[in-house]
Amino acid sequence: MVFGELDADLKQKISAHLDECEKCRAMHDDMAATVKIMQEAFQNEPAQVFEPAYRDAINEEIRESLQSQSPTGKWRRFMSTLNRPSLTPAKVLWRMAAVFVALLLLAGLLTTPTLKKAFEGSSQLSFEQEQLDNNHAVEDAKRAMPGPPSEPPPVAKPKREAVATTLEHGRLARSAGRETTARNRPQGADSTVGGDTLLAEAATMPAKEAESRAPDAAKNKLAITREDTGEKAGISFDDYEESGKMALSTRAKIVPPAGIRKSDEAQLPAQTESKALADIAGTRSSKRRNEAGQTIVRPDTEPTAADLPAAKESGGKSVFRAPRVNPFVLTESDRYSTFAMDTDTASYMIARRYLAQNQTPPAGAIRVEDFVNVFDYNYPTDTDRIFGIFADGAPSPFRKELKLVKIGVQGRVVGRANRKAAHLIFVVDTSGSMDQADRLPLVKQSLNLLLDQLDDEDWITLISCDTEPHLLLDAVPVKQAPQVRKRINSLQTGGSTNLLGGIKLAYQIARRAFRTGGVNRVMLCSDGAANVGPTKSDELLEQVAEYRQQGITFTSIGFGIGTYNDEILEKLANKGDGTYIFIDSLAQAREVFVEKLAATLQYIAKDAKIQVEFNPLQVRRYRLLGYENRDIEDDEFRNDSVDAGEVGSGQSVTALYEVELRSPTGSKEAENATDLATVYVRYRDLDTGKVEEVSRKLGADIILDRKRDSDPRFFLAACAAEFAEILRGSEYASGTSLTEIVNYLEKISAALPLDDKVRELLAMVRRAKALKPTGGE
Amino acid sequence: MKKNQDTRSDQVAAADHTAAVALKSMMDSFQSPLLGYVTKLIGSRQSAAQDIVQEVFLRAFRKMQRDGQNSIKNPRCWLFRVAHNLAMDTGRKRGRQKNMQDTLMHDPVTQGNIFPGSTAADYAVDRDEMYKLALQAVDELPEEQRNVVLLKIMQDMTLKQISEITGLKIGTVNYRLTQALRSLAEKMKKVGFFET
Repeated sequence: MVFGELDADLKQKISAHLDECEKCRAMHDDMAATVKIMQEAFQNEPAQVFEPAYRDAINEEIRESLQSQSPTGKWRRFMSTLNRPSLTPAKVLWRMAAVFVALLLLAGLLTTPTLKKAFEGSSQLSFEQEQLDNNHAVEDAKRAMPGPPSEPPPVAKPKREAVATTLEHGRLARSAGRETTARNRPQGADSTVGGDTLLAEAATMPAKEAESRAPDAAKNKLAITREDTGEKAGISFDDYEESGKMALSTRAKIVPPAGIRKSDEAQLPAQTESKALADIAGTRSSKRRNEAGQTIVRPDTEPTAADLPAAKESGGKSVFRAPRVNPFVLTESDRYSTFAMDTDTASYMIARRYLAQNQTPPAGAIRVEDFVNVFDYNYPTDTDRIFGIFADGAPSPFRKELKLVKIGVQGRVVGRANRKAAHLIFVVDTSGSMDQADRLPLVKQSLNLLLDQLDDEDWITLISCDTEPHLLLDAVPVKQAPQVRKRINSLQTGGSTNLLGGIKLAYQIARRAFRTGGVNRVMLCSDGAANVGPTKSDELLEQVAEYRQQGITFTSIGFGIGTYNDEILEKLANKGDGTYIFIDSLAQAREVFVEKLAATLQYIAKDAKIQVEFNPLQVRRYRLLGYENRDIEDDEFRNDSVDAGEVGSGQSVTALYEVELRSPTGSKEAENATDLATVYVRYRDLDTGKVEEVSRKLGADIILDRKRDSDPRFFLAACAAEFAEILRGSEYASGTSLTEIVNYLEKISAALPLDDKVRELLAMVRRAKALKPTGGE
Repeated sequence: MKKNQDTRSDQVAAADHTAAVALKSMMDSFQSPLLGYVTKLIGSRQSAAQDIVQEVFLRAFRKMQRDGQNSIKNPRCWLFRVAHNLAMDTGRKRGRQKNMQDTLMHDPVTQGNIFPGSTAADYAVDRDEMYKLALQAVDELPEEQRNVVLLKIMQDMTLKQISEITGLKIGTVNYRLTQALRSLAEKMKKVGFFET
């Protein structure tokens, strides 16, 4: 690149000189290497976008400059259109009618009390919510969103803007939604932030003219939507158009749409109320359905305490993004809690890795469910049924006023003999960043370990992937082990990362050499430091999701820490019906590829979901610990096309709920209702391909006053979850200190002397405590 | 006569509209590169960079409004040139000078690993650390070298484009770039990269 722009002649001369002169050669090489590092370094930098305040200022300026000349011009143009000879009287009439209708709507809009009501309602709501669930996250949300609550909604601005508002309301609402997005993700890399309100401003031309441009504008809108569907920026325009009735962009801004017809107007308050219910319940899931069956879409990016450290962390470092922390939900308003099963444990491994380096793991890397699922809770396995449901409960060890309910779902064990033949397609990232002891060398060791475990009937494909993908082994039977081994051991690093290319190639081969009735699995071994922008990673995700339908699954195996991009690896695994594993040591590799090979390779069920229905007569409110990014809409539980979790042979999933029980009211109903909750598990049996559902009622008798010595595993789960909560900075754990957890774990460790994992957790908590001089107090 | 007037006012409105649309697409494409460039160039608080880039886009809008959408033939060059000039005007009072040596003394090697499989050597060199040092080295370049390096390596521009943006001759750009790369390479070497 240094000499990239010289003409060929000069280049030749220089390279000739370089061949001769050692000193110049060395200098040239150094410079070339410097350029390369610099390029990588710049690429690694997070992209910057305008802060909302700046973007707004630009919009404001443009709005003013447009308005300064518009009123007279508009009027003159309007008059002149009437005089045009080409206009027939019919056309004139039609246009006048159009203007008249527009004015009527406008008047209706300004006088209608609905707006005012809606606005008042929403601000009241957030107040009530604070009182109700004492949820500090709300305050955080407000802090992170200065302005909106006190700002009048855009429509409240009079006349001049009203035309634009009625025509472009959707976009205004959208842009408001996007502001939140941008605020939460200051480093958002793509063009999510753009001056779309500019378009709205530009539309402050006469109504009829804007009408004629409407189709064009609509196209623009859709283009914008398509741009950031991957980002799931708050409001999907499609949804908006469909419901055509209501867009909730932020808690405080409710923008009613243009063509409000009378019937719609009548519905608006009702919808606001039903939103109110959802809000009071403190449910902040991204989508909820109201009674009218319309989707209310809200930004999925409400800031949480956990978001902030995550954002900081991504300043050129590993990219972790924290999901929001589940809030308490009032059982009366939403008795269902639904989520996809998730057996990943990567988050725990990453935290372990950080702590081993004497660093506090970034809050964004912590997923509570991963911490809980690391441990073995000794659920009995039943060979007849695919899933068994187990539950126990006790007063919460860390929050006395609450009860902790532990729900475990244990999968059947498939014997080694029953394992299906597999075609494993390994995509190994051999880019420069993998050139560290805990990356490529560990990948090689892991693959060699795996090779010992595979059967002769299994096939293996090996693709190395740097600047270009290279096909090293093409569906070779494992019995040709020497050749396979040789190829694996010859992997070398260099170049940038073209993961997209590698994965594409992998799927091509997976499709070509598809094993019907077997396991077809693409396995990505990477540090996740792919030089792919967000648009590309969306493309990647789409592809993975598409092939999932065809029976090719995807597993992410993360290696190394540092440039490690947790988010993309997890997303890939989630989309591809796969698991996400993090390997940081040979011991861990042995666990994944030797001890738990069946679980890693052989799934017993897919699209497995759990729904817990709490009994409002018994349970006042509940909170699910973790599983935030595994959230499923309650009424999607029996929709079998929803992508949910996969469960490997013998794996178990444990979920913890914090619940507050109702104090006995003495009413007859309450006496009769002894069930706390009902657990439903729905999944597709991978052997038969049929969807099945099992359920179990949980009686109030599961909650006992348990002791650490007699029920150590219950407290182990509680400690693991609490540790994760503290690490991710959850408000709910603010009253707990790491010292308390250490105290519990010491007892548990004594009660479970054979469980290495408990000792490891204890060591981790101690390490974390040492890093935080306050001990988390 | 009247008709002419109307056409003109139509045109004005249309120009406003297209200018706004054009500005939006400009902002979509260039706000990140511009912000990245200006931040690195002036090396001060981010808000200063935001101020500058905001002004750049406003100027672009005013120009397109005044002279028509096509008055900016090469938006990338135009935007970068304006940004460059504004940054040069304000960037003189740069307050940040980190001492590279201090950072280099910092050694992330861990001691006393309690977990299996992680050795101190694993962490001795971290790619991120290297990137950080590389960017710091750029920060420490003199301003006139820094801007060519940023334009060339960060923004991947040709020498001709750089010369247009900075108003320097191509030869000068080339000279400064070479100087900068040489001193960068030396710095990196001092830190211990390129040991073979």
